[in-house]
Amino acid sequence: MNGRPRLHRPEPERTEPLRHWSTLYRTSESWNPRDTGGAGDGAADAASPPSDAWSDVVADGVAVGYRVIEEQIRQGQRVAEQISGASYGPAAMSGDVREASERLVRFSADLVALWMDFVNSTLANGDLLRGLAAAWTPPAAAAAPSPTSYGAATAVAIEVQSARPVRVSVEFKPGVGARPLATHALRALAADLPPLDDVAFVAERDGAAPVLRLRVPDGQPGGVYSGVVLDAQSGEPLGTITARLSA
Amino acid sequence: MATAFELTRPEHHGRYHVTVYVPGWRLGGKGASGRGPAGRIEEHGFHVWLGFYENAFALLRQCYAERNRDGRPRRFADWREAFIPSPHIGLADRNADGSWAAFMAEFPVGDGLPGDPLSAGNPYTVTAYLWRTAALLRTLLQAVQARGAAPAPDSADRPLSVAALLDAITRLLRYGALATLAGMIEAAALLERVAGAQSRFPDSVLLSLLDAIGGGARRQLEELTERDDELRRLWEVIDIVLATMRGIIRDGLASDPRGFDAIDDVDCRDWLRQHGAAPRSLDSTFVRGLHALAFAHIDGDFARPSLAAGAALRGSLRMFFTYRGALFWKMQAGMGDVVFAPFYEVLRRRGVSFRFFHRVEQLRLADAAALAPGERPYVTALEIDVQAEVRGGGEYQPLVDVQGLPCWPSRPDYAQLVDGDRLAREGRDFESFWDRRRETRRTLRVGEDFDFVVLAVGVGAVPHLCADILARDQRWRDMVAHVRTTATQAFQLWLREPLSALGWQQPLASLSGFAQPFDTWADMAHLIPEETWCEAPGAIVYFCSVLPEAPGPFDEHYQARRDAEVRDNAVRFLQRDMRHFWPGAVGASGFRWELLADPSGTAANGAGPERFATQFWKANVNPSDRYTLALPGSARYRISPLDNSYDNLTVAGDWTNCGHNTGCVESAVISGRLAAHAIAQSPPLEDIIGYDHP
Repeated sequence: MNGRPRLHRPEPERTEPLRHWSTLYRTSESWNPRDTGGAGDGAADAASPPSDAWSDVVADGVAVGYRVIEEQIRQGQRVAEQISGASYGPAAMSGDVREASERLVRFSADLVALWMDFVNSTLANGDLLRGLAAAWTPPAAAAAPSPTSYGAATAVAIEVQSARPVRVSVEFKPGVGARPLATHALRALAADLPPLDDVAFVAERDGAAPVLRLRVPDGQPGGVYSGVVLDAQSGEPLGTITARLSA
Repeated sequence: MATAFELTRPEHHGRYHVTVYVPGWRLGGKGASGRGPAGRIEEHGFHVWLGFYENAFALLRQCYAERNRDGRPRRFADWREAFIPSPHIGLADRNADGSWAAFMAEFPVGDGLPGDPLSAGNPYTVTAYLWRTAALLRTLLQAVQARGAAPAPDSADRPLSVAALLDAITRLLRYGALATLAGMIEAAALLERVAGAQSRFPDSVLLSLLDAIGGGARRQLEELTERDDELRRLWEVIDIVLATMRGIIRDGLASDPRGFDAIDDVDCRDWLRQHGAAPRSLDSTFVRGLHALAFAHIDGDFARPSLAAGAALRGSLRMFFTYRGALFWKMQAGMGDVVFAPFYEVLRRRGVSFRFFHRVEQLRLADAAALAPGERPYVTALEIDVQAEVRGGGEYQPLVDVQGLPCWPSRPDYAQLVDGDRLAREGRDFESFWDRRRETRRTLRVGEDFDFVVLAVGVGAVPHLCADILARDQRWRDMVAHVRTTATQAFQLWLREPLSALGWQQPLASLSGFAQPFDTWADMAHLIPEETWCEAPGAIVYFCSVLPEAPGPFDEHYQARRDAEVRDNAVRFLQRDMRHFWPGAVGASGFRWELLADPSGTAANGAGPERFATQFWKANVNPSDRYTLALPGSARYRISPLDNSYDNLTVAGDWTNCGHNTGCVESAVISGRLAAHAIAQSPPLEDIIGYDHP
């Protein structure tokens, strides 16, 4: 070398593309090149959209998602389970038509799973949780949220059967009174992990707090599993369940 | 080129001085082209730019705009003169009687032009893709219905009563509407309505309807598809589309933080099978065509198709649903003429230096023992073979003028080279990896001759150039072991008669999924005016495919042996297979070789198969020219241009982890832009279109 100090590459901000669904809400204009005054000026400016707009979009998305869930849970999933159940043997039909029919009819069940995944992803993200809270908060309250807005409003007992440590929490949206509760399987963010499907709310006796019973299979992979608390009569979403299972 | 273009943007105020070292006499690597006899265009293969190549088109458009600022009149001043939309895409498929048929589609004009600013909704979301997939399904069903089926009665407002529903199903069956897939889907929609309100009906009604549809429709469907090849092909596409939608939803790809990478360890056919695609659909021409487009055959073996599901899905969705203008864009001249010559001119104007006939032999790392604590390894020297030196010590002038267009020649200009006559006599093949002859060797040293290195070779060349890195770095060893490539083969025909006279009536079509060993061919008649024949040919046709691996010896004659193999393949293929689409090209004794146009204008080349010698063919077997595969489980071994394991080295090419991990121009450009970002932090990652993509 001639004594000139060797130049170094800058530290990369990241080395992978963002593939997470959060790019769902990226505006198309954000792909377009910006006028940058000089080299490197653009990177710092390329931040997320303004948080208010972001929250609004997420809030809208989550609200729509829950409406889809309500409708689909009441109709699609129940019927789909019946169709694929023992009362009707898929072997009665075979070939392309059977496959296509099954696919079409079961589509609603798949949509439920899609939205469950969507919600699970939302719950795993702090920024998105704020958007979720905004969706549930009346506009006036959203401007000055109460510190207790996220607090539990309903008492629930929790019974867990698990060979490994697991931390379970149930959170309700504000204003939820005593209602009959229901839930579906708890799912992990990673789609390849099996859901925790042995979970249910049980009413021990009249007037007593409902009991959330969760059984964790021995071979269940560790991770964070979450699901939705539903009004057992109306299907309205009331809150969330989160189970953090040690590896 | 993309990296050089980014690093030398005026916004950098000359901060980066770029020197390009390239073997031989032209730029472009796998995309290089040359002008041969009669000014004919000779390519490495059949190149099209897809309508979703947003980064590639954007940079090219910027390049053209900058080139035009000198105010000089020139041909192809507007990039739209240099590319023509090519919406006619076809798939070849065997009919039940063993003959081949073309399954043609004209893709509608997409909004805007590639490289335009994006203005309406982020197209790169799984949700957007799902909706567009559903729309495609509806279009396909409409195509089926257009084949003569009676329109199915509208059921949307029919009251939900047992009698009405049974009547509807019965009517559908009676009038034969279920004989079409559209009718079947409509019946299924009715079924969904029943299912949605099933509490009002006994289960037996639901099951009766299912039985009615399953029993009646399937029989009629099978009869139809067995006697109607086109309907069968449509059904196969519908089946694939349904499996794709189902797979996206069931695998939770919309919310998976890995995006489509979540299924990249699985082969795309296995993935479709898992989600219900019928075996017949998996072997359909549609799936074969996708494999052909991606040269997705291990070791060039047609019996070993392999394509990662994630890469296939991402590529397919982007290709079909985010294209702008046209699905395919063909170039109005050679890729070298339309792409690399303008970039060369603009980069030269910006002060970039080009060192032709410079073949990089080794990247040398600094001694690990000499690194300071915490100091990352770095490239300390580049060993370069100089294949030829330029007379007078100046810079080689690589372009020639063809009808006012700066073009790359197919042969070097020996007159510019020291001892050019001798080099020509010796038959030096400057572009053959196996011709190791050189005039001298240079060693460039860090801090003296360079600061940063952008390794922009094909991945096949990495093992030959990076011995130091491979000796030390398991990640790089894994990368070269798992990111595999395939050789390809190509040939071009200039025919004395137009294809319409030979029995082919499709306008400027591109066809894939055809007979091996050349499963893809394209009508390139639009290039005829660009060449300088005394007697213009009636047609130009390009063919390409994978080339199976062959044993060595890997000596200086290896390229010539593989070229001869391609020639023999082409002759056999023309003799045996083209009669299916060009019946007029076949006489009593096989292919009419006299159809081949001879640029020499003489009859000296005979009228038999030997006349094929007047055409152009090529085996792309150079390590750097091989096509990068997207095999299941391989993406995780790719290394990003942003990776800074080596302090002054970055990589660029369609083999890197660039977000769109398939072998194509767009991937190479994205990668090149990432490499520029790695050095200059510009362009911002958010500006690299589609880098952040599910």
